[in-house]
Amino acid sequence: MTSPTAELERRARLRRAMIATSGIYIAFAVLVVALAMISPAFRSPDNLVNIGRQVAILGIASSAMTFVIILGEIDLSVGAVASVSGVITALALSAGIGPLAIPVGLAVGAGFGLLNGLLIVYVAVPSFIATLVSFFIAQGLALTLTTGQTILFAADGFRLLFATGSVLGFSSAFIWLVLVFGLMGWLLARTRFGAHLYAIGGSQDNARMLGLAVDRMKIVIFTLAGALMGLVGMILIARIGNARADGAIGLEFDAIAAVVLGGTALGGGYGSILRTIVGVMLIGVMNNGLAILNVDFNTQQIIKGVLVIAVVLVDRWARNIKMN
Amino acid sequence: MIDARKTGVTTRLGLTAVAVLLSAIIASTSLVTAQDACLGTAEALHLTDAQKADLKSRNLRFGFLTNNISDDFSRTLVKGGEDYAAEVGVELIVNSADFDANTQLSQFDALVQQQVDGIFLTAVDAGSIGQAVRRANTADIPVFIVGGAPARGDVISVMNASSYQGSYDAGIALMDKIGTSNAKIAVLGIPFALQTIRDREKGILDAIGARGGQLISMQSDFSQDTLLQLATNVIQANEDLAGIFATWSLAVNAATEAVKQSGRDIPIAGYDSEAPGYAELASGSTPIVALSGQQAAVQGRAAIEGLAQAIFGATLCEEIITPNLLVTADNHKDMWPVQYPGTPAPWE
Repeated sequence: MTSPTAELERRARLRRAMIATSGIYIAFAVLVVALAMISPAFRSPDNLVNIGRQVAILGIASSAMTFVIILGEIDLSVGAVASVSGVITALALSAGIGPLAIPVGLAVGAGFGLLNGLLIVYVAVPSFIATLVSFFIAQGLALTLTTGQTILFAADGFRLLFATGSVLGFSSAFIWLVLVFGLMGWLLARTRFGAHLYAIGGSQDNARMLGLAVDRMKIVIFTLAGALMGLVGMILIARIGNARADGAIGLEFDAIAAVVLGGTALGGGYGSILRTIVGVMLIGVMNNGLAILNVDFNTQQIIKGVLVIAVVLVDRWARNIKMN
Repeated sequence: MIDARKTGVTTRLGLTAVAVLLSAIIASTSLVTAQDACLGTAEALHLTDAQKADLKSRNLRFGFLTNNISDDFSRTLVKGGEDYAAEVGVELIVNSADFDANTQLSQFDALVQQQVDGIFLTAVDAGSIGQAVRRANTADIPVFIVGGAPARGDVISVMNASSYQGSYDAGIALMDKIGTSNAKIAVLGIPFALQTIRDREKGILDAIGARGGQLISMQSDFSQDTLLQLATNVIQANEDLAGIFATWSLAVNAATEAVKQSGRDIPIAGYDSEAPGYAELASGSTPIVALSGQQAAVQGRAAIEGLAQAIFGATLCEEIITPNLLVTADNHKDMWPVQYPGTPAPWE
């Protein structure tokens, strides 16, 4: 039988552990409750569906970035690859090749991802440089193909499939997001592949000594991230109905912010898709809430900065409790 | 009795007043004459056949720097400049800064190093280009700029579209379409600190005020996708939203798509009439009421002509305004070839 003191200590330890892993969730909950109390428009069911649709692009990009960051690498080509994939898909749709445009778009993204992986593994350049190379090539290719013009396309079926369609009230873009989160979360948490990814991200030298295929993992992860950027590019053009060379430029920074905000370590070896989901939702809810409250752009930037640092501090406070 | 001293003083004062008045009249007349002497419109910059022939014999090289080439305005501006340069035998060195002020500075300095005969630019940041403009002044290279005067250095003129008037006219068209007083309007824009953007915003705010409307939201971003999100959120949050005004091309696209996806009947007006906007107007069922279009091709040609006029010794006025077009569903077919000459229409 445990003594009352031991029982109290056990409960306190449990409480500390819960807080330690929930800092980000607490911050998210506080933000949602605050916005729901302030604005009736925010808490309307339509708006929740609206938020789901709006976070689809950032969510898919962030799930790809989570894998890359857990691997201990970085991908700066995300926005440019999504843009060029969208542009090439739109051109393919305009050319009248129909559903074949979809594998074309995915292949463009995967191709750039493969290029990133090959440059990192076989040319031995850091991912920062390799993905910067891809960023420039993808951006240049998109500008060349569009000659700076907005590419219009008429493909209602394509738009319904990737963004504007609806199943049980949820937009197709959101359903793609759920599928990607589900697949990536399962891969990371429930498979040997995920375990190897954590191990390699934690220490590449140790992983090599254990006989893990580090180089192959890098190529696979970057190719997978590229293919997901192909999907992002298609959702992007399906949402707005046109394609532009600068369609997703800057997406990489938002994705990195969402992943890091969620608590995934930039050094690699630690993180989860669930945490990234919360990071993505935090950004999505923040953007939606501030616009719904009709806060002007300049003030929004200040509030976002303050909220982000508040979330980071809450998370750090929670981790300190665990360490103590 | 009349005081002679007082009379003398009065007379002197009277004469002085007359002299001052005459001087003021002469000064203002000379000012008006000087103003008349300067070239102040795109039409006034047109070259005569003799000047064109002279230009061809000189083998001139002009630099043509744009802040980006990813929108229809910049693309048409460059095309207008290139077409006319080819016509008058001027070699054109074109470069885009992709919205990076440092890149544009390097490109500008490279042109000065090459000793080109003139530089035309749409500045990313008119403030930061000033030092480079000074270097061009030292090298006797005329500089012609779009958007706003640089903080330092001398330019031959500043060319601007009629941002305020264009925005005001489109805004009035929107308010008249809504037709009710106290209509709630949202503005979707771009967070750029350029004078043209401020003028566009002032134009729509004045139009809203003139028709007794009310501004309820002002959102802005650089990304089309983010603008779509913002427009969707604003529509979602304001059940009584009566209209949206978009201050630039991507905001027009985003607002249009957001209104269509909402299924609500919210009219839109905007600044910038590019291909997607024209395609919408041509579709026959669009929330767009009117778009104010800049004449980029006219500005591109005026860029070459302005530099040539400066080389020929003419004086350009401090500011050259090119009028905007008000594009609607009724006139879009006539406006397209005026705004984008030689370019196939999006509905063809």
